[in-house]
Amino acid sequence: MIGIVFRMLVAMLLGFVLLPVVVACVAAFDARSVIAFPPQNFSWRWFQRALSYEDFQIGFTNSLIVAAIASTLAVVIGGGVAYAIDRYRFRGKAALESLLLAPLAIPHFTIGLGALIVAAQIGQSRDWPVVILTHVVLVLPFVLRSLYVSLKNIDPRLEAAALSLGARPGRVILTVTLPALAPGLAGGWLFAAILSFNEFTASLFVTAQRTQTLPVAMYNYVREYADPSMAAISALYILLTTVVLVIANRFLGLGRILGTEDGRP
Amino acid sequence: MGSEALRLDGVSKRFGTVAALQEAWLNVEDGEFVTLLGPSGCGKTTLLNLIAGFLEADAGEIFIGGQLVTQLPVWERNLGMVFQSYALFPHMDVAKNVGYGLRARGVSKAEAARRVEEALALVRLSALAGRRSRELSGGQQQRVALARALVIRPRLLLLDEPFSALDRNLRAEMQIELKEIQQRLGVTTIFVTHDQGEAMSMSDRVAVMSEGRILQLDTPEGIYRRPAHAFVASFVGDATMLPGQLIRRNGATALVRAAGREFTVPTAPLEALAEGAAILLYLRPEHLSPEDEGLAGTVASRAYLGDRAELVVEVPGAGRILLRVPGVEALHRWPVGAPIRIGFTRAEPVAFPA
Repeated sequence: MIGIVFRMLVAMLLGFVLLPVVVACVAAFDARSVIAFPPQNFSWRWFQRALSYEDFQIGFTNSLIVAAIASTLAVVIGGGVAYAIDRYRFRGKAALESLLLAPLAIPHFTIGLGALIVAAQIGQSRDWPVVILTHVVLVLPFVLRSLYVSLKNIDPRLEAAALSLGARPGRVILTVTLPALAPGLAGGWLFAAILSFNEFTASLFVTAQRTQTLPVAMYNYVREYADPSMAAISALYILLTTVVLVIANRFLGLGRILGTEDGRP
Repeated sequence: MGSEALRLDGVSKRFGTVAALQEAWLNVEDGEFVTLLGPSGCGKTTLLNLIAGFLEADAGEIFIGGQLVTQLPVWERNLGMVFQSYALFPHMDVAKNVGYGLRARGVSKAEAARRVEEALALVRLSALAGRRSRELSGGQQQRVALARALVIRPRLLLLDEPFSALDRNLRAEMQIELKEIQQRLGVTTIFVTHDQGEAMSMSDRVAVMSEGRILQLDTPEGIYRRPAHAFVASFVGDATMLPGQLIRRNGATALVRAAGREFTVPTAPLEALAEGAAILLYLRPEHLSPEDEGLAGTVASRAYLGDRAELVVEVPGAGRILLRVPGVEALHRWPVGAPIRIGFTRAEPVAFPA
């Protein structure tokens, strides 16, 4: 009896979580020109429309560029800071740590608005550097956290052993620390890229027509049209993210990326 | 006597307000196997880390092979270290792990391959050269760590409780193997352990440590039979302690009284005492045996261990005395409650200030 109730609860929870996804995906295949549920005639036309719409194409490319550069920068900065926080004691360490984790608690529109004001003040238009740096700020806390956990899980005696075997500190970082950290770096990068790729609120403030990311392009689209292209692109979004995660899981192990396993052999 | 491999001149180390190591003096000859023995927190690992260069001494100097190394960084000291957790590089196979120190030294590929092969043969792991460390058993990982430390031909081999993660049988096997390899190569070895059996069975000399001090540095026999300090006598081996008094000193030996009897003990630990002062007499259980003229008591408990048995004997007016008797004899003659007389003819008692 309790087993049945429990299973029903789990099923309801799953249904509740997945319902919007399922509805959006199904609506994408409707031949009619308005988003409606349930769909009536099966059609690929909205996928064709979504894939051929120029703003979406530009937005997709822009999103990929921003995600790639921003997450790479975030991993480099986050890696350095996480290493410093983990290995050294210095003045202002706690302040630095909380400052870098702060964006977790600050609304994205505040960050976007702030970035916009600063950019205007120093005479920057809403160009690539502003968009990318805003994304770096947004994803840095996540990257920092993930790399910090990965570093904590490296046995410090691995580095000690390498030093005792005659390797200089620089060589130890390259041949022992970085390889041991590789899953954490890759996971942190991927996590940052997915967050950046999906980011909307702050991007809305800092992007211009030329630099608009895919979520911004989608928002601009729904302000003018109400056809199922949106549903189609949502379905594509989910498909892409799923493929990336499946590949990542295959090569890295999701447990390690999400920090639920400690990554030690 | 060989030449000097390691010398510590009054090395001290503090962590905040804690004196982790206080003025350690140590001289190790070439090819010697010296164990740092003590309970956790005694400073033995601190001392090892100072020798290795992972810690910087607050005072004193360290010499390795006659060279002053106090300020030399770890990677220039040319030492082989084996860690308790093995610390094998998880992203490298066995051969790569063993060859790491050779690559760091810029040894040519052909030469490195030959020496890695040689080192793996030494620890009988040639067949596993291509394995990852996580595919190995604990004992195999231990051997890889040993080969990795030895392949660089270190001036000193440093071992930090290397066997504590292994089960008992494997540990005994690895002890014998390590000792054989160490003797074959003649490599000077500093071994850290809290296991007195391990220290006694493997070492040429043992440094017994407590609270940041080296209390005694001697052969295993010296540590056991002529402890210089009450802590050494109680930490190494079992002992029964009986309260008593110093009667008088006669040069190298002294006369003490305990449990109504007189015992001759070495004078050295009692130098500072006045006659009549309180002492503690230490007696090894295997040096005591049932004798007709002995001290009368009753068997309070008996632990049968096969080859031998341990009897705890209640002696009125003296307390409880532990003695070891052959197992068969214990079963037949000394059940709990049986009267027994303890003889001291083979005893090698030592006494310390109470």
